[in-house]
Order: sequence, then C-alpha cells, then structure tokens
Amino acid sequence: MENILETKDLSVSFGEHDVIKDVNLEIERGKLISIIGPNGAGKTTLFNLLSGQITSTKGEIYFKNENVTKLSVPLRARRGIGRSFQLTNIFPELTVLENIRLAIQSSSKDYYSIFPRLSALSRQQDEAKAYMKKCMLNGKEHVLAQDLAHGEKRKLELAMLLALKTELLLLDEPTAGISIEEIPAILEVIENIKKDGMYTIVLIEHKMEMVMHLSDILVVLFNGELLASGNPQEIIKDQRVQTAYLGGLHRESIKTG
Amino acid sequence: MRGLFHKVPLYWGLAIMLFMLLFPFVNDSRSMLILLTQIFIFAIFAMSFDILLGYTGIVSFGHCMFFGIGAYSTAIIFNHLEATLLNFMIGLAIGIILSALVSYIIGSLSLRLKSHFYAMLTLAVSQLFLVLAEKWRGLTHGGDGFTFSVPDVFKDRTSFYYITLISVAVVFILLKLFTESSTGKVLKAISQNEYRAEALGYKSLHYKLIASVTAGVAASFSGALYAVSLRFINTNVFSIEVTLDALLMTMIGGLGTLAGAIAGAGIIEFLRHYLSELAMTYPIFERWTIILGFLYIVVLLVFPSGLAGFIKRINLKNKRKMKKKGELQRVA
Repeated sequence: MENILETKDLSVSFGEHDVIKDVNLEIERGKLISIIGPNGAGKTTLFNLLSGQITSTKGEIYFKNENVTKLSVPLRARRGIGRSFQLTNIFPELTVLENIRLAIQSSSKDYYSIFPRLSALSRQQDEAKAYMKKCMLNGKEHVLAQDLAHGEKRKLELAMLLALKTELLLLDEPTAGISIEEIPAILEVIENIKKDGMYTIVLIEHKMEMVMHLSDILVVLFNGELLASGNPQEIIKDQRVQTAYLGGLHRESIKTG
Repeated sequence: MRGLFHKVPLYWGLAIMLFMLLFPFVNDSRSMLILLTQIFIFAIFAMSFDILLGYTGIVSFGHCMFFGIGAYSTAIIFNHLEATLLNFMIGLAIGIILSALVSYIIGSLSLRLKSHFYAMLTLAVSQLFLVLAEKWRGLTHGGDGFTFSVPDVFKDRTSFYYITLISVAVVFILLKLFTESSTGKVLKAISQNEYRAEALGYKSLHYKLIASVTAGVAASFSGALYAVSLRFINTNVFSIEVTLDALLMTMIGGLGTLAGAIAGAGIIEFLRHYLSELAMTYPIFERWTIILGFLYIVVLLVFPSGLAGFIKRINLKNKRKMKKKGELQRVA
C-alpha cells in the first residue's frame, strides 16, 4: 500500500520552545490512525502543521508524493487534506444544507462563478442530502447550524469533510465536549466513513476504548516527539508508552528507561 | 427560479416597483420627484456599501471615494465635452474603471490583514482624493466646484426619475444574483467564519477583493447619477458624511439585506427632507443631524439588526404562534 502522507523531520518551535521535534510519520492510504499522548504533547500542533494553519520551522510534508510544505490552508484543502477542529467550527448562521453546499461547491471547483446556476444548485442539493444521510443528519436541512445540538454539529463537520471530497481526514477530538449518549452516534459515523474505504482518517482522541476499537495504527506523541507507532495492541503494552502516557516521569528517564 | 427567490418577498418587490412606475402619473410635484430620484441614487450607494459590510463583513470608512470618483469622472467629461449620452457612457466607464482599480489596489494591500486595516486605509485614501479634488483646480475648480450641462433626457425630471428607478431595479437584481451565486455564498461564509472558509479551500483574500471591487463599481455608478442629478459638483462628494450616510442607511435598513439598504435610503432621505423643511417653522430642526444621531442610537439599541431584522423577528413570532395554535387544535 502506498503512503498517502509522509512527514520528514517535521519540526516547529514557538520561540525557544520546540513543540514538534523531528517527527517522521508515514500514513498508509485507507487506514485509521489514532494519535495519542498527554496534554501538551503537540497533537493539535501536528494537525495544524499538516493542514497548514501553521508553517513548520524545519522538515517537509508530502501528500500523495507532492511536497505541500509551503502550500496555504485553502490550497491544501483543495488537494484533499481536510480537518475538523477541537472546537466545532461551522458557519453558525447558515443552515445545515448551506453549510454542506459550501463544501460541495469547493470540491466541484465552483470557486468564482458570480451568477447562480440552477442546474448546479439542484445537483448540489441532492449530493448534500446524500452526505447528510451518511452522517445521520436527516431532516435537519433547514435548521441553522447554531441551533444544532453539540453532537449534531460534530456530525455536520464530518459531513462537510466528506462533501469536500477529502481523502485525508484529520479529526481533532471528534467527541470532545459531547455527552455520553451522543458518543455512539459519532462513533458510528466514523465507522461508516472508515468502511467506505475511500478515506484515510487520522484521529486525535483521549477516549482509549474508542481508540482501541477503531484504530489500525496507534501513534504516540510525547513532548513533541514520536515515541512509538504500530499495532495498537502492542503499542499499549510498550513500557515507554505506559510511563509516558500515565505521566509522572521526566523525559530523560524515559529515554534511558 | 424558486430556489433563488423563495426567501425574497418577490410580490412585494413587484408591487413597489409598479407603484413607483405609476407614481409620476399620480403625483407630478417636482420636489417629490427630485426627492425620490435622490432616494434611488442613494439606494444604489447603500446597496454597494451593504455588499461590503453586510455580506462580507468588511468595514470601510472611505466608501465615499468611489461615489466621488464616479461623480467627478462624469462631471469632468461633461465639462469638457458635449452633453451627449455617449459622453455620459464614457464618463461612467472611466469612473467605473478607476473605482475598480482603486478598490482592487487598496484591497490587495490591506484585505489580507485584519479588517480594520482596510477601514483605515480607505479612510486615508478617500481623504487623499478629497485633497486632490481641492488642489487640482484646473480640473475640479477646487472646493467651489463647477456646474455643467447634461443631456436633455437627464434634464427632464420625469424621464430622469425613470432612469434612476430602472437603475435601482437593475442594480438590485444584479447584486441579488451576485449574492445568491456561489461566490456570494462564500462571502457570507467568510463574514461568519473566515478561518473555516479557508479550511474548506476558499482563498478568502480573492473573495474579499471581488466584494470590494463590486462595491466600488456600484458606488461609482451611483456617484455618476448623483452628479447628473445635481448638474453641479464640488468636493462634498468626497466628504466623510457621504460614507456615514451609507453606513446609516444600511444599519437602519438591516445589514446583509439589499432591500433593507433601499428602505434605509428612503427613510434617511425622507427624514432629511422633512426635518429640514420643519426647520422653517421650528428653528430647533435646523440641527436635524442631531436627530439623525439619536435615530442611529435608537436603532442600535432597539433594532440591532435593522428594519429587515425586525420584520424577520415579527414573522418568526407569528409563525411560532400559528404553530402553537395548530398543536393546540390537534390536541383538542
């Protein structure tokens, strides 16, 4: 299987503080990869680097064998890297349908047309409904996004990512701040997306049960460094991971330990 | 066309248009026609401002410069060439091209930064144009301004009334199509969440530039009509009050609704007309601008989303009431 995403010595520092240090990541197409690590390990920063919100101080990012290190956020999104955010990030005063349609419009390369075309509109409408069904948002077409329940906003974000025709989905804690009752639904949506086989998913998640259940590969990030990656069952038994994830020990002692 | 107009009270628009078309047959008082003509011209100007502020969320403090560029281009052409329709078109075209250029340059310099840089830069450049108009006496006759003659169709108050009325309708339809287009939707998205729009693959700078140029062109058109309506021009068209008028009109009418901008223009111009007329009997109304100031404060406090938002709220309330009634009936 080819790698859809690779990073080479990816590093970023804010001032003197190295947040990500020489991360070499290889992500296989069609897999679900979970990134775990304690708070402040640099998980979200890594996502920001991959999607282009911040630029690296060193190293390169290759997406489908193309060097995307210097590309801006919108250009990476057009290539097929899509992300969801830790805090839900949607257009609050547009309806669910309009939110999704904006994503479809972008993926259908309909960037700058300044006159409305009715044929395109109805086609987009149908397409949007299909994505809504996939993400279990039926019947919410004309609800304003800000009036959705929190879990539904998460689903809307996922629907928008699918509508963007992203190949690589970066999901930053899709269950953060969601009530326990709503989690199974989100889980189901992610499983559905995974089953499709068209998408590669990178997940940041704290809920270990969910991570173990979903992931093909587990990546552990600690103090901005890639501590371990591989089969979830093996990784979780790794002594270094256990100490790092349970916290308490200093980095030096882990390296030597 | 349902998809396009389902939100617009299309019948209302048609009814108002019909009324306005028939109006000169009912009431041909000269001052009334002049007042309505002014309203139409400022309605175009207010709509252009609304594209910036209401639809895209860009604050401009110098929108008057596009109005002024349009007005001066037409006036200077008529001052030097014969008063024919062709020359009007030439003046209009020069104004529009200049405005598009200026708005493009200002936009590309400042729109990639946070929005207040655009506000400051437009303010500065518009003041620059004011100084230019004051100092370039050979062309503009400075602060005194100059009069010029216009084609006969424009001289006749009734025909000019129809020209401006049709202009408002055409500009409204064009801008409405623009805001309903995919580009228009992205503008709305950027005003709500620019960060997200970028993550969806939209280069927000490009869209802001499109909005900025569109607004500049429309404002320039209204400026040209304004100059023709007065048959006189001076540096007042570049004054900050012109920008404030546009701001007031869109705020009162409701941001983000083109019809609101037209209504706002109507309200402000009517108020200005009648309040300054009242001043003849009650001297206190000589300070009618103060009353506009009060109106502004009241609008911000009571109807923060303007007339359009107020109507929307009432409609929503009625709908909810009807729904409740229906539910009660079902229960009974």
